[in-house]
Amino acid sequence: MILIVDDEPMIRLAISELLQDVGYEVADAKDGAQARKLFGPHVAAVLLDVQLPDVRDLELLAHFKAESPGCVVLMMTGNGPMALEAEARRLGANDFLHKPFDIEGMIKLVERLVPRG
Amino acid sequence: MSLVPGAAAKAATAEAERLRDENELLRARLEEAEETLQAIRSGEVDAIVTVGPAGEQVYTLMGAERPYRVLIEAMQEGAATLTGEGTLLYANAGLARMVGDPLGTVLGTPMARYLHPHHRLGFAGILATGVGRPSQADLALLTADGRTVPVHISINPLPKEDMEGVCMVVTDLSEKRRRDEERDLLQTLPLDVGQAESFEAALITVLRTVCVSTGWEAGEVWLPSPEGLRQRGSWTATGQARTFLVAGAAMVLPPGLDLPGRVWTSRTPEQEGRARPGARRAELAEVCGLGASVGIPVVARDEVVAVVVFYLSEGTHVEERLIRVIHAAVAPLGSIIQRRQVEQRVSDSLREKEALLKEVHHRVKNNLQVVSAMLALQAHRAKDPNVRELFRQSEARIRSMALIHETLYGSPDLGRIDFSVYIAALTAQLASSYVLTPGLIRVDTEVEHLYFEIERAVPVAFIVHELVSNGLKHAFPRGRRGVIRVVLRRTDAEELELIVADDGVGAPPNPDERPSTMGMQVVRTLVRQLDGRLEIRNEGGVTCRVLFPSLGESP
Repeated sequence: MILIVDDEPMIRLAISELLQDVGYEVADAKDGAQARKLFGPHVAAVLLDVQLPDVRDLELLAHFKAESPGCVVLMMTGNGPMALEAEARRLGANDFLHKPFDIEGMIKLVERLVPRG
Repeated sequence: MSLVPGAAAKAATAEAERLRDENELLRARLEEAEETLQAIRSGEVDAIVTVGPAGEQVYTLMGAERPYRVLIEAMQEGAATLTGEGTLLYANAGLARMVGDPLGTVLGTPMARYLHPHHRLGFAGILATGVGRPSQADLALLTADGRTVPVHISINPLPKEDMEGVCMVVTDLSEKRRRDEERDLLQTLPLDVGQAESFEAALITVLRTVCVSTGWEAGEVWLPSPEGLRQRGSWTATGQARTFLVAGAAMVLPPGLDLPGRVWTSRTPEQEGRARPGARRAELAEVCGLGASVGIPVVARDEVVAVVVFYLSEGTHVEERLIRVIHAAVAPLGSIIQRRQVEQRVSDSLREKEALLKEVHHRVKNNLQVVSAMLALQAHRAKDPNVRELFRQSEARIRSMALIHETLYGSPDLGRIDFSVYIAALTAQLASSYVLTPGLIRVDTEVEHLYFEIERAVPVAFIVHELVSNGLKHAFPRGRRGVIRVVLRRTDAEELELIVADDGVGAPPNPDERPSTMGMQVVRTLVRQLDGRLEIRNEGGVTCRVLFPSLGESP
């Protein structure tokens, strides 16, 4: 399953629909608290918005990687500071999607990193 | 006439002897009288006792010394005689008044005891010189009641035949010094404050100038905040006081507490000889070896905008008059602080505006991302490939516009966008969208740091988007490798040049065969909007060159 974490409902909707169209099972969370509840060993990948209202810095990424080191985490970021990206990589982020990102490109990236089923 | 010769001769001899005795007696009396006169002149005699028919009579002398004694006792200056080691042998009432001790205590006391500790060495110097020749210096006394009194001391040697030692005249310079200080402070401080480069520098100038001119040890400025008074600036020349001042930087004093808090509430100058119980600041000052403190309010438009506090190294009392002068001297701080408050409000408001603008850019970008995501979803679900392509083109255009807001959001200057940053992100985004096989087509950029305001950033961005997209879609068919070069630079002070060139297959000669004219329509429209001109060369690939006026895009 792929977990989509973003506080923007339409982004969650579009990404969920598209990933489902190409055969993935998805769940979505609007904030860190919901994401923690939904996260578990069954989550193969997370699309994680870097700016969430109830999450400080990269603590959610660190949490996911500590709970499940093999889980693929794709960070959805703006053109933010490079230091943040470097720190995210250090914490185990697998790749980055820079907003505004190309949805088709996102699908290609997911398909490359996350096997279906 | 003749006498009996024997008897006459005897009588004559007896008379001569009597006269000789009388002559010697008179001579002795004359010597005694001269000695007495000399004793009176030299001050060795205060009174004369005579013995006569009426018994003993005492005559006090109104002689030569009396006028000098009256003069010495009546004069305002302090006058004294001292041993060569500096012990006071004689002092007039003026000196006793100056040092604040009874005359009985003064006599026999080393004069150095009445000197301010900082001036004892200076006094020792002029005393040592004064034993041999006249010497003088401006020094300061520390009185028995803790006041510092600026004085001029002149010392002259006493005649050797009288005694070993010196005579000293001490002139109180307080009045003169006060007048000088008042004049200097009131004249120079506002000028110095006015010339200070910053608000902080103005605060330090006030503290330093007052401390230096008064000899006070340290000063600090407390400014009101919603939580209480906070120390905003401090000055001292000594390390000991610095520790004390640094400790104050972490304190917040509520109204009424400690000297600064009391002055804030009372709005009048106050001084504190010793720390009151619970006065944390004053207690710490005592621990750090500081003396009395003086708190002075700075009032502007009927509001206490600051409390300035000074600390003395010695002494427990500051004259009210000096406090009034300092009160007047620090008054210019009021207008400075008020100006600072206005600047602060403007700066806060500007920051708030910037934060809002940032938020707007962030939200616009998010909204455009949402639209782009919805178009992507529709494109993905469209059955007709032409419809799908139209959705995708719209989605890409919206994304390029969202990228402008994203770049502005992350830019230090929210009004302008650095195109070297923007074009790098845009071309990377377009390449990832259109290049199916990574590494097949390369997009090289040569973009100067040119800053565009959003009104011009959007058309320039769209032109780059359309030309690069065209190149990526059409210049390299059937897996052809190639390079697209994007150049944006200044040709001269008045013109900018944008080049998008590819080394692909080139455009078909017949315009009807060209795949999309919509993109080029957009380009031509926007070039006109920029008051520019478009040149297209179809040779060894397609080169599009746009020349348009520069409107101050420098950093």
